Parts: sequence; C-alpha cells; structure tokens
Amino acid sequence: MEYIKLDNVHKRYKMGEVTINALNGVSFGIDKGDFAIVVGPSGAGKTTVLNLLGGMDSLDEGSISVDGKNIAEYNQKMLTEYRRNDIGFVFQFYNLVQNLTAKENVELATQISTNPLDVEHVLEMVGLKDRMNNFPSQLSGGEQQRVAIARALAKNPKLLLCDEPTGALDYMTGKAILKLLQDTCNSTGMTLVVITHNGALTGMGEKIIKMKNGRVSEYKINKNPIPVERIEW
Amino acid sequence: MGQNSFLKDLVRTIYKTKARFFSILAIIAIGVGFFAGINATQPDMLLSAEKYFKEHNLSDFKIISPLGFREQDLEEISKIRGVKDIQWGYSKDVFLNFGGATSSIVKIFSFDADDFIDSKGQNIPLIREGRMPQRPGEMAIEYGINVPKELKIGSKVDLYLPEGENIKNYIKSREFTITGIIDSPLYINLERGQTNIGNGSIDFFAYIIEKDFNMDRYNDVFISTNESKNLSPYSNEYKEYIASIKKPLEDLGKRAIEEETGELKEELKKGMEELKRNKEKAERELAKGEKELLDGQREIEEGEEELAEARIKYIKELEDGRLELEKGKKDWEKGREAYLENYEKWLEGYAEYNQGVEKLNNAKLQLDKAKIELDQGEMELQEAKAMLDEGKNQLDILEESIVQLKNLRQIIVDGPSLSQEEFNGIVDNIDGLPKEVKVALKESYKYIVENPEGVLVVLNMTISRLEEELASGKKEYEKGKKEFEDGLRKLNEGKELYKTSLKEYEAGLRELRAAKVEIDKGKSELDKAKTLLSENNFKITQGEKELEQGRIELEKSLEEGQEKLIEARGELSKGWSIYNKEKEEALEKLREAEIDIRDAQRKIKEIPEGWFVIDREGNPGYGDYNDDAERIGAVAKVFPLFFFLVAALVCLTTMTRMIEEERSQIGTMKALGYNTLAISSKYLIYALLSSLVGALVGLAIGFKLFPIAIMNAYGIMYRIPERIAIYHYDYGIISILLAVFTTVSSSLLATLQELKSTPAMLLQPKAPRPGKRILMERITPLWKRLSFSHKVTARNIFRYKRRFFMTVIGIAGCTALLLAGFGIKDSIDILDVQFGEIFTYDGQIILDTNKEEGKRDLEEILGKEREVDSYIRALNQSVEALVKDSDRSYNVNLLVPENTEDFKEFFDLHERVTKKTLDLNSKGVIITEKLAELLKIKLGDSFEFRDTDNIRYEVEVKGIAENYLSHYIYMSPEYYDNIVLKDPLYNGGIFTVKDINNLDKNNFKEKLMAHEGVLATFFIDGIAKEVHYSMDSLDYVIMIIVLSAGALAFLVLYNLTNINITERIREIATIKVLGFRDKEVASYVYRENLILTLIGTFVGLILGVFFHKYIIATMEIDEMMFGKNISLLSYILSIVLTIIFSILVNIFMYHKLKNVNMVESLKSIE
Ligand SMILES: Nc1ncnc2c1ncn2[C@@H]1O[C@H](COP(=O)(O)OP(=O)(O)OP(=O)(O)O)[C@@H](O)[C@H]1O
Ligand SMILES: [Mg+2]
Repeated sequence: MEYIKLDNVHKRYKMGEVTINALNGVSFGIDKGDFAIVVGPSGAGKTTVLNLLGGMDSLDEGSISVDGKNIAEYNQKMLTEYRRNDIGFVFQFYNLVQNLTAKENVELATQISTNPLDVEHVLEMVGLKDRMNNFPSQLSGGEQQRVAIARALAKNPKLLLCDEPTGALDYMTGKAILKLLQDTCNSTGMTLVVITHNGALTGMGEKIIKMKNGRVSEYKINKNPIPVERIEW
Repeated sequence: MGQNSFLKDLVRTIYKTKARFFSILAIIAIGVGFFAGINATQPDMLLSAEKYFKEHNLSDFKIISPLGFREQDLEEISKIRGVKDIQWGYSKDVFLNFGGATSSIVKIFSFDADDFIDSKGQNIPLIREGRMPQRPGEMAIEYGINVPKELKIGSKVDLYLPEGENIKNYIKSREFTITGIIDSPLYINLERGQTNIGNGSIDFFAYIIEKDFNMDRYNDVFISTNESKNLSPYSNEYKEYIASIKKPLEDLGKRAIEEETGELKEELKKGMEELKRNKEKAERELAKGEKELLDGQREIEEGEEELAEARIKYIKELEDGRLELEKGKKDWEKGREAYLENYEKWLEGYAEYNQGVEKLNNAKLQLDKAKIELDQGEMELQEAKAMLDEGKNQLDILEESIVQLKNLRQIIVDGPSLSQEEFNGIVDNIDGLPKEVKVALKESYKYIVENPEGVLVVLNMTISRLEEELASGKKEYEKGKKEFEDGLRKLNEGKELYKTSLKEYEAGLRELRAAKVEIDKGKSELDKAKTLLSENNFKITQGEKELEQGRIELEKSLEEGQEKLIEARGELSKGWSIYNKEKEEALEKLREAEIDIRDAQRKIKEIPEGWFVIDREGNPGYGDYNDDAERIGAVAKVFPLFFFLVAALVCLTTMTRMIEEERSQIGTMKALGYNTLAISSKYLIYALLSSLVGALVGLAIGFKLFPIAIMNAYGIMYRIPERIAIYHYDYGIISILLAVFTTVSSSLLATLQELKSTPAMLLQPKAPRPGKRILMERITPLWKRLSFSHKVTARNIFRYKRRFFMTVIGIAGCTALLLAGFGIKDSIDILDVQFGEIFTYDGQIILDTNKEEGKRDLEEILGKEREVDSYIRALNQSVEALVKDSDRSYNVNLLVPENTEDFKEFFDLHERVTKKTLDLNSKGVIITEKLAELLKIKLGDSFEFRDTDNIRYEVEVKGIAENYLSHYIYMSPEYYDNIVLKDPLYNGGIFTVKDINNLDKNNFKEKLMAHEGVLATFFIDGIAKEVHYSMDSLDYVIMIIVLSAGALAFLVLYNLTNINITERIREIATIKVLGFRDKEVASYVYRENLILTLIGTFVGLILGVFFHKYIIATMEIDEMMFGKNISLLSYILSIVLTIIFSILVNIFMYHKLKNVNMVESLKSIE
C-alpha cells in the first residue's frame, strides 16, 4: 500500500463564469520515506497539488489518502489537526514571521507539536545554531530558507512538503538546501515531496512526477537516486 | 487604463473592500453628524427663540412704576429716541382661589384687544386653547406647571388680596371664568418672578380685560424699539442698542418719581436727623450718671479693700506675737528641764569625787607599806652579798691550794727531791689546807725516800678531796650568787613598781584636785541658771498679758471701719436703684427712638428712586435660555471636535493602510507609465467618495437629530413653541471640508509616499518591517518568565508603533467620551445629596402673614400634630441677588430661621470640599456655592439683593455652603434685623415628621391647610420628584452622547482590528499552515488587541476625567450646581463598555480570521 495516494484529483477555480481546472484528474502514489520530486511548467498545477496534500485547500473531486486516511473527506477542523501533527511545509518565499527570531520561528512550530524535535538541535542541523537569535531580516535568503526548513522539520512531521525551496536561491545555496532535505529524508524516514522547476534535479528523487496542464504527464520511479553533490545544473 | 477600466477598477476595489469603505463612511457620518449637529444646536436654539420673539413682538422694555404712570410720563416716554411703540396696562399680583383649598399667587395683566389689531401690539399671547378674555369677568390663564391641573376652560376662580387690602380697589369683580389657555413670550421658562404677597413667588400669570381693572394709573408700560424686529435678540448689537435707550428711560423715571416724592423724602430725612440727635443726647446723660455712680462704688470698694488689708496685717502681727511667746515659753520649759538635769549630773559628779579621794588615800597607805618592805629587802640582800663574797674568797684559796698541791706533786714526781723543809714550807704555804692534812702530808713526806709513793698517795688524795670540796663550794657559790641576783632583780622591780605607783598616785591626786575645781565651777553655773529661769518666767507672763490687750484693741478698731463702709454702701445702692430706674426709662425712650429712626430709614428706602426699567434680561428665563444655548455651544466646542478627531484619525489610518496594500498595483501602473495623478486619483476618489457621502449622510441626520433632540430635552424647561433646526451651511461646509480633507489628503500623502519609490521597487515585495528587540527583553528575568506566545505579543505590541498609538488613541477617545457621558450623568444626580444630606427637613408650610397672629401660630398648627417630630419658625422669602455692575440678577430664597441652633436640625450647611459645618451668626450671611459663583464673590465679600418691594440691601458673606439646587441666602434673625431694619416676619415653618415613609401626605396636608393661616404646604420629596423630571431632559442629551460614543467606539475598534488583521494576514496564514487551531490563531491576534484595548481604556479614563471636568464647568445651568465627581460605577461602566465593544468587534472578526485563505495569502509575495 502506498503511503500517499492521489486518485483522480480535481481542483477547479470558478472565476465568475469561467472555470479553471487547475487539477484535472491527478493520480499518483508515493511510498513512505520516499523523496518525491514534482516538476512541470508554470501553471501546471504543482502548487495546487502540494496545497491539497498539505491540507491547506479542499479538492473538488477525487480522493487523497495519506497513511490510509482520506483527507479529502476531512472537515476544516480535522484538516487543522492534520496540518498540525503530520505536515511540515516549506514555502518558496520562506514566510517567516518577521517579528520573531530564527529560534522563535522554529518554536512557533514546536510549541503546538506533540512530538517536536529539539529546537536548537534542528537549528544546528541546518547550520544556523549561531544565528538563531537573529531576526529574519538579519539573515540571507538561503539562511531564511533554512530557518523555514528547520521550522518544518522541528515539528517532526510524517510528511515534508517543499514548494520550490530553492527558487529564490543561488546555485550553491540551493544545492546545500536540497542536500539537507535529502539527508534528513534518508536519516529520519520522513516522506518528502519537493516541487522544482529544475529538471536537472529530477535525478535526486525516488519518485519523479511530471505535471502538465493539471495532469500527471509522466510518473517515474528512480531506483538509484543520485546524491545531490553529484548533480550539476 | 482607459476611463472604463479605471472606473471598473474603482468599483471593484470599493466592492472588494466594502467593509472598509462603509466603515470610513460610517465613522465620518457619525463624526460629522455629531460635530455639526451639536454645533448647530446653539444657533438653532437661538433661532427658535428669535422666531418666537419676533412673531409675538416681545417687548424690549418693561417699565414698572410703583406710583403708577401719569399721562405726561407716557408722553415723555414715547418721545425718547428709538422708542417705536408703547403699550400700557395694569397689573396686579393677587391670590387666586380655585375650588376651595388651594390658593395660587397670580400676576394679573390687563388685556386690551385694541392693542392687538392687525398683529400689532407687544407680547402677543400665544393661544393654546380657547380665546383671550373679551368681556368683564373673563380670564385667560397660562399654560404652566404651577397652574393647578384641574383649572380648565370654564372653571371659575376667585381672586382676593391679603387681609387688610380690598381687591375691589384694584379689580372690579372677584369672580372670573377661564376662557383661554395661553403662553407669553415674556415667560419662556418655569420662573414667574416675584411679588410682595404670600411667599413672594408668583405661581402663574393671567390676563383679564383692561376694563376689569379699577386702578387710577397704569403701572406697566411695555416698549418696543425701532430695531427690535431687525436685530437678533441675543446678539451684541441688540444689547448695545438696548443699553443706549435704557439710560434715558431710567433718567426719565428718576425725574418723574422725584417730582412726586421729593418733599416727602426730605421731611422724613429731617425727622430722622432730629430723632438721632435726641437719642444721642439721652445716651450721653445716661452715661454721665452711670459714671458718677461707678466712681462712688469704686471709692467704697477701695475702702473695703484697705480695711481688709489692715485687718489682715494686724491679725498677722498678733499672730506673730503669739507665736513668739509660745516659742519663749517652750524655750523656758526646755531651760528648766536642762537645769534639773544638770543639777542631777552635778550631784553624781560630786559623789564620784569623794569616792576618788578615798581610793587615793588607800593607795597611799599601801605605797608606804611597800616602801618599808623594799628597804628591808635591800638590807637583806646586802648581807647575802657579803656572805657570797666570803664564800668566793675561800673558794679561790682552795683552788690556789689545789694548784700548789699539784705543783708539789709534779716536783715530787720529777725527782729532785725536796727536803722536807722545803716540802713543809711549801705545804705550809698552802693556805687552804686544813692543818690535819698539812700534817698528814708532812708526815707522809717523811717517808719519801722509803715510800715515795705514800706521799703521792696522800697528795693525790688531798688533791682530789680538795677538788671535791672546790667543786661543791663552787656549786654552792653559784647557787647563792643566783639567789642574790634574783633577789636584786626583784628588789629593783619592786622599786620600779613603787616608783610608778607613786607617780600614779600623784597623778590621781592632781586629777582629783582638778575635778574639785570643776565641780565647784558647775555648782556656781547651776546657781546662775536657776536665777535666769525665774527671771524668764516673769517675762513670759508679762508678754501674754500684752498680747491680750492688743487683740482687744484691734477688734474694736475693725468693727468701727466696717460700720462706716456699710453705711457708704447703703448710700450707693440707693444711688444705683435711682439710676437704674432712670436708665430703664431712658432706654425705653431710646428704643422707641431707635424704632422711630429705623422706621424713618425704611420709609426713605421704600420711596422708589425711579421707575424700574427692565430690559429683556429681566424677563424670567430670557437670559437663562441664552446661557443654556451657550452651554451646549461650549460642549460643542470640545466634545464633538474630539469625537471628530478620533474619526478622522481612524479614517486616516485606514486609507494609509489601504494604499500600502495596493502597493504592487501602484508599482505596476507606474511601470506601465501612468502619471501620478492617474494613479493617485483612484485612491483620492475612493477617499473622497467615502468621506463625502459619509459627511453628507452625517449632516443630513446630525442637523436634525441633535438640535431637535436637545431642544426637546430643554423643552421641558423652556416654552419656545416652535423648534427650528435648519441646515447650517457654515457648519456643513466646515465639517465636509474637514472630513474630506483629512481622508483625501491622507490618501494623497500615502500615495505620494509610495510613488516616491521606483516601479521596480514597488513591484518587489516590500521589505518586511524588520523584527527588533524590545526594551522588555533587556529585563531578562521578566522576559524569561513570559511564555512564548506572550513574548510574541509583547514584541508585536511594541513593534508596530503606529498601530499601537492609533489603537490606544482611538480606544482612549471612546473611553473618554463614555466616561465623560456617564460622568455628566453622575454630576447631575445631585438630588440625593441635596434632599438627603443638605436639606434634612421633610417639609415646609407657608403662612399668611396678613392673618392675625393667633391664626398663624405654629404651636397651634404643627405643634399639635402627632406626625410632626420637630419644627422651627422661619422667614422664607424670594429675593433677587444682584450681580455687581450688571443688570443680571438671580432669584434666591432668603431664609431666616428664628433660632440658629435649632436650625441645624433642619439644614446641614457645610462647605463642600472641607465638609466644615457652617454656623449662622450675627455678622453676615451664608450663601450657597453656586450663587457665590454666579455673583463672582468670595468669603468675606459683600453683595446686594433686592426684596419684593424693590429695596436693596447689602450683606456680607460669612459662609459658602454646599448646595446643588436653587440658591439660598441664610441669615440669622440678628443680622436680618441689622440689615433690613425690622424684625423678621416669620411666614413659614420648617418641619420634620416622625416617619416620612408611612405618612399619608395628602391627608396631612389637608389637615394643615384647614388652618386659616396656612397658605401652602409642601414636602421636599415632592420637589425632588419635580426636579428629577427636568433632569431627565439632560439625561436624554447624555444618552445621545453615550450612544454616539458607543457607536464610534465600535467602529473605531472594528477598523483598527481590521487593519491589524489585514496587515498581518501573511503571518496569520503562516501559523494556520503550521496547524494553529482557530482559537489559537484568534488568541494569537487578540491578546494584542486586548492589551492595547486595556492600555487605551486606561488612558481614556485619565482623559475622560479632564474632559468631564471641562464639560461640567461649561454645561452647568444657573439654578443648579452639578456634582464634581464621577462615581465608581461610571468608571466601571466605561471600562466594561469599551471592553465589551472590543470583545464584540473581536467576535465579529473571528469569522474573518477563520476564513483567512492560506493558499491565497501565501501565494504571492506581497
Ligand atoms: N486562486 C486561484 N484562482 C484561479 N485560478 C487559480 C488559482 N490558483 C491557481 N489557479 C490556476 O490554477 C492553475 C495551476 O496553478 P498552480 O499554482 O498550481 O501552478 P504551478 O504549477 O504551481 O505553477 P508555477 O510553477 O508557476 O508556480 C493555474 O492555471 C492557475 O491560473
Ligand atoms: Mg507554484
């Protein structure tokens, strides 16, 4: 049984008379502990899929089962609990709370989590132990993204979702962050879904989902994922 | 963007932000409406009055002449420049009886229908019901609260005057029928002025036709001036114009009165002078007589004093003598005792001496005996000595012999033998040898040759025998020698002893001799003492005799002095009693003179100086109305402005925020090449639309709602028939401009601010406001103790400074408005203090002083009622307190209790702040606090009041008492006497009942009214109720304020919270994604709001206190003083309401928070 299973998922946006089919029957599965990569052109529906997976939005048709439970049937409250306990989310634009230090941003997540990791330890993992008392505005983009990752990781989620975590970063920093994610996935057995525009990165993933026009255009299983260090793009 | 898409964008923006749009609109509407409405109230009130006055031709002057007007007076008046129309008539204050028990005091005016043809005439009555009187016996009465309720059209009433005066002298008939009910512009409030009958205050007014009057001269003249139709009644121009006419009118009045009363006044003055002179003379004489008597009395007193002094002196001397004598006696007694004692002692000494002589003689005998024994012993010793010496000699010989013998033996042993002879010779030479031994030796030696040994033996034997002898002799000698020595020593000792004993004896002898001398001396002293004693005894007896003599003499002389004094005193008292009798008579005369003088003074005072020229300010309520309007105006100057400021501030924030939100759109448009005007016009139009529409709505409602509501509230106190509320263009334009200007200009500024940046920068996400450490974090122990979410809250509060101040100011403003509103309500809630704490009596009755005294005896009326606990007589009169250098006067109750001590049982007069109790004394008056304020006087100042006979009196203020309702002058009877120059005529009683709660008041009242002398009875709880009624109108105004403040508070909070949430939507979305539950999200946001609300509330309370103070100071009406404090409940209410609003808003917002779309909020970079 796959850990995550999307089955014929539809998501529509009604804009007056026009209806946009952001997702048009998406189905795929990911195993527990997988490092999945979602790629595709702009507007393909990647973010939409991730949002649905993260319980941030509701779908119009189909089902999404995570760990055997169909979250499509969840109400708002259950979705909140789902986000709270199972999901870690990393945004493209970090979305740190400006008014909190790095450490506090992480604490924001851990204080509501039932089984959190040690905040300082996580910050050490992402290499920001000595910057943990800095505010986001005092950190570089890559550092902020690492704080965002630390915030997601510290909750000790079952599922870590990252929407273009390297999008705003330079090559080296992006690489370092991806490495961090891959390592974490390997060491903790966390399931990881990462959206990227960068086709070169697909080699990293164990599952590669290519999307186009609201559908999965290609689904690949990569038996031999390449460690990030060896990827060039 | 074409015209079309511009419009579309605008409409879409408005639609999208409709909550914001309408909240700006509503805030502006409330702010503008309140501002303009309250500001319009003052002019509207004045306009309403002006309309009434002009339509009903309110006269500019009313002239009253106490002597009535002569034909020529009227002519003179109409000649004065500015006088346009003159209308004359009669008026008379009478008692009106309706249906038996109740009498009212009514001012009756004459009505001449001819005056009012073609809506001419002055003070045109406003007919409410029925018609004006047309025929004799008809009467129109007013429509006022003091008119008995049962009095209706068709009712018949009866007029009468106080006893002693005949109504027929003034009005032809006594019975009248009511034909109409009217109002008059002369009386616009509840006051009806004063009179000189009854309790001095008129209950209502009425009209009868002129022909019903039966008076010689007109006593009322009404004047209208050229400008009365043109100028606004309360304007300065009007006041100045009126003042210019008043002066000549007054001068005219003075002249007219002088013509009629000048002579009388002179006479009275002369008479008074004469009286005064006589009085002074009598006083002088009296004083002289008294002085003489006093001198005599002083002499007697001095004599008495001298006598007493002498007596004391002599008695003292006698006493001293007696004491000395006593002492002498005692001394003599002591001396005698000493003498006896000494004599005894002397006898003892003498016996002792004799004994000593005997002892000494005995000793002498013994000494002589011892001498003989000693001599004998000495002789014996000398004999023994001789014997010893003899013994010693022999021993020596013996020893010599032994030596010779031994020598001899040696010779023999050695050999050379001696011849016999030789030997014999030798032996013979040895003295100590007894002959037989010599012989034996000589014998033995003969055989020396044959037996040498034999010689030796004999020799040896001899030697040893001799030696033996020597030894024992020696021993014996020694013994004897020792004995001798002992005896010698003893003898010496005995001699020594003898010698000392002899010496002792001689000493004893000497002593004895000396003792003898002493004893002899003692004896002679004793004899001397004895002589002295007997001498002293004689002296003492002599002294006692002298003392007795002295005493007898003293007593005699004292008695003589006393007798003389008594005689003198008798004469004096005779003098006094004559004087007293004379004095009594003189004083009586003086008193009479004084009364005469006082009467004369009064009479002079009572002669009027001139006419009473009264302008409109003298109409009851005319000035008060303007004051009240001004008060509202004063409130309007701050209250709504404050209100408006809060509204403007919130709109400003809202617009600024909106433009910040649209930053990227602005950037895009700028990038696309639109110019500043094109870009900013959208926001300007948005702001313009919302503020303009809001302002218009606010004006439309405000100009009607507030003035009408407030005038309605005041309508209970003022009889202005029509209430006009117009649209005031000035306030309208000002408030529209203010509202539009603040919102539009803030939008413009915000847009321009944004447009300063390059399009690229605008399109970039705005650099998020960097996080900062706040001061609190530096207080590590405190910071550490805070929970995580509290830390976030703390940081957020201090980070967004603008939001902090906006919210705090907004909320503070609302709380302050609420507190001020409630505070005003507290301040006008003064009845409990007035009727519970200050007036401690239960009721008053008014007596008809024209009735004979027996009929108005309180003892009869109140003293016999079971229900009455205690009562006091008092004079209760309505007077006018005059403001210095002004025409303004205030109606005041003058209260003179008969007894100032008992008075305290009924009134608790005290200073408000210090709570110091004030006592009435004969030096001045106690006035109530508000009166002092109105007259602008302090403790120790003086002011004037005018009684119902128009006589002025000046009094000094000795106390200012806490009081809230109407004004009082409290005066002691003594002071009244001083000031008014007559004894107070007590016309009322103040009483307490035993159980006010269970008293059947109507029944009780009826019982009291049954007495002929009782004019009226009332209970203070009745007054309290009445006042309460008029207070309700103010309550109404306050309700408006509180409701408006509440609405504003709600909107302000809504807007601020809204801004708070939109500003932080990303943050909120983020924590929602993290899995914060709805409640957690809410508390994350609301904790801040709550704290800001609390801070704002606190600041608001402080602000509100000042606000309240200001408003109360400006809002007070003349007849009342408002409380100065805000009650705890009002504080609590303001706090609770603010917090409730805040909670309501937050509940409202909860929905919005719940529906924050995470996906959309986080998608773009803002
Ligand atoms: N709130 C929305 N309203 C209307 N349409 C939307 C909304 N969100 C997404 N869409 C549409 O859904 C489609 C999928 O969008 P999605 O954000 O998933 O694309 P994406 O693959 O993440 O693209 P990108 O790589 O540019 O981020 C797009 O065509 C988009 O226009
Ligand atoms: Mg996307």
